Amino acid sequence: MDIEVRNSTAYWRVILVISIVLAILLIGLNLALGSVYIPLDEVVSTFIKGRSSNIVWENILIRTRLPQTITAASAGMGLGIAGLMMQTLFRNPLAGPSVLGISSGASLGVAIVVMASGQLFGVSLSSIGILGDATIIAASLAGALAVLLLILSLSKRIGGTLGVLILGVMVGYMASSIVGILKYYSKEADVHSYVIWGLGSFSRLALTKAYLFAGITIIFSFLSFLLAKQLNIISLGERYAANLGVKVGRARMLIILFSGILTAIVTAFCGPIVFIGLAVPHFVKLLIRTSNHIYLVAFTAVFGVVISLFCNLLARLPGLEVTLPINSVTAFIGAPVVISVIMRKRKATTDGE
Amino acid sequence: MESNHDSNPIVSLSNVSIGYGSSKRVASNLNATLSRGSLTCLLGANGTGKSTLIRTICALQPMLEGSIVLDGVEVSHLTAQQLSKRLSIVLTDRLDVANATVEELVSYGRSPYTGFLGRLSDHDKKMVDYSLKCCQIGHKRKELLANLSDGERQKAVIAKAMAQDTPLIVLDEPTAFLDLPTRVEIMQLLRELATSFNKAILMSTHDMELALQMSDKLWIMQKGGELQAGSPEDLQLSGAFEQLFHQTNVKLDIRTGLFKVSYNFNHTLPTVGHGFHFVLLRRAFARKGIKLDHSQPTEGIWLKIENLDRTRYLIYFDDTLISAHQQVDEAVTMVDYYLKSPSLKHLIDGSPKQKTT
Repeated sequence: MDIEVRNSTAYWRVILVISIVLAILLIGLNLALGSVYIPLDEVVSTFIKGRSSNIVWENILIRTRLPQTITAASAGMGLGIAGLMMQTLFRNPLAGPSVLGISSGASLGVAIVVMASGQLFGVSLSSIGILGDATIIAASLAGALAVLLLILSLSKRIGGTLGVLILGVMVGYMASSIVGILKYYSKEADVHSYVIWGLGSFSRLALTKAYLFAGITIIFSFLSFLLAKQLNIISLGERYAANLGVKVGRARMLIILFSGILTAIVTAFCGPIVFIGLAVPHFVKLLIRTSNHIYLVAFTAVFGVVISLFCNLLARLPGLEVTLPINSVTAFIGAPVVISVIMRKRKATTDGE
Repeated sequence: MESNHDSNPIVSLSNVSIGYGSSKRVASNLNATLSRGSLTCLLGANGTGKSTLIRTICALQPMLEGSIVLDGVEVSHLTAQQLSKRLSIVLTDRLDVANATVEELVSYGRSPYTGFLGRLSDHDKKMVDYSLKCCQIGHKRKELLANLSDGERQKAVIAKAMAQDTPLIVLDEPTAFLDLPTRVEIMQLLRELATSFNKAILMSTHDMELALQMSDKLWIMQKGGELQAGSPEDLQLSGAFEQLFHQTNVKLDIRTGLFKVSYNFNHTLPTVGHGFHFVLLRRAFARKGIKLDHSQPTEGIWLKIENLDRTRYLIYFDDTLISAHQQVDEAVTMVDYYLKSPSLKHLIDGSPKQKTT
């Protein structure tokens, strides 16, 4: 498609309208489709009139599908924006939310609770249920925030952005290696529950927790949106940014902080979700040709919702009794997007020469 | 060396030392000024600290000693925000902003003036249009940066600096990696911006010949860390250039303002002939370390340029014609071979002859 077209505001409005319609449609489908089909008019009446003709349907909607839909949508939005910020900060198309090692930190937190506690106290948290759920969220959050704090405190001493990137990757490796040791010495059941956690899921949260999760994600997504101007200028490189009056160190810290918190929250509530944060920004950049983060962040938020809901729908393939792990689906949707971006980029550079 | 219109400079450096901490001092005691409406080129060999000086003036790197006053205020006292309205930069860093159009890049130049979310006011938009136009890149405004040629990209970055609306623009080697016509074009653009918009423009460059012809002032960084400032003509007369190329193979012909490469000659080759062919031949042989001269050939190898219906280069040994060539390249290769071959005399008359010189 012509660049002029993809750069025009009229075209952007069309895309925005389509994406919002898609998001609403996907919310509807996520609520309606699953192992039990609930007609759309029943879905609508449940939420508008507060009741449905079928109490079982009402239960399924309120207890499973609504929290799952809210969780999926919020996770998609948060991860997309976190990934976009990392790609801009590091000026690297392969950067994503996990690049700072924050999700590895979360995994380490969970691994310690799930596997080490079984070893030390003889109690497998995996068998405790609801209490275990909250503990896992707390452990994951603690691990992720610990890594985030470590990165932030060290990043002041590291001069360049590239140094921060390497730091993040190294911290990630270290966390993974400790997880490896824990896995090696743990009971099979504990390892299994850790692996299950690591596959990610949008269906672990009850409605109240889903609301909480959505609330936090929306707040930090909005805060990230407010960084749009800084992101624009930072994308020119640190020295140009400094010359344009941006305090580069502070801007970088805020970007890492918000992106890190979004990643930490999503990982805590859903487990490490792969590829959404990497693929959604690329998908948006393919659709709209701009470097202006006011638009990029906004579109990434909407398409994060759309793509995440779409993946969630595929994971519960209608007509199938079983549910696929969400990460298998996101990888299958996300990887081709990234591959096509790389191919296009290569084509563009070879055409130019 | 100070002239009258320098009485109110936009930038003045006094006793400035630059470097990386006290252990790595690159140059010290630098004194110079920049004034509005003039294009100044910063020249100097690699490693003399041109880029360090540029970065120091741009406040991208701390100064070790001395003072740099920009628009009446000491640079170190300016906040980043204040500095961004006084000084704009064009760096050697390649600007690779994913998906950015020329217009977007130029509009980011307005960020010191825009609000929290960076929305452009009508005035900002006018400034962007204006900058695009005066940098002759308006026709590419919707083009992606990635699709521009190097020269066009450089114009876009200069337009960004124009949009920033600062009295001083500093450019680090803006003409590097460009072909000659584009280099001239960029220099002309900078000249135009300096005169028409009353800006002070400082650029570092290795393009001496262009700098001599097109800049109002030159700053020359010498090897010892000395900075000489003045008009190209004054500096030419003061011998600053001889000092710049001291102990190198380059000589500046101060009458023409052109540079000459000097060669190390190992041989002298008597040559009969003159004209344009001789000039070309002389250069070709010079690269091989063979100096052509017009002395009367006595003995040994000598060369004759024969201008009959075709030009031929005849190589003689004493009075024997050894070979004739139509290509300069061939003649050079053969002469080089003969001169290096110890048993040449064998080849020619079969009988060893005692060399008398």
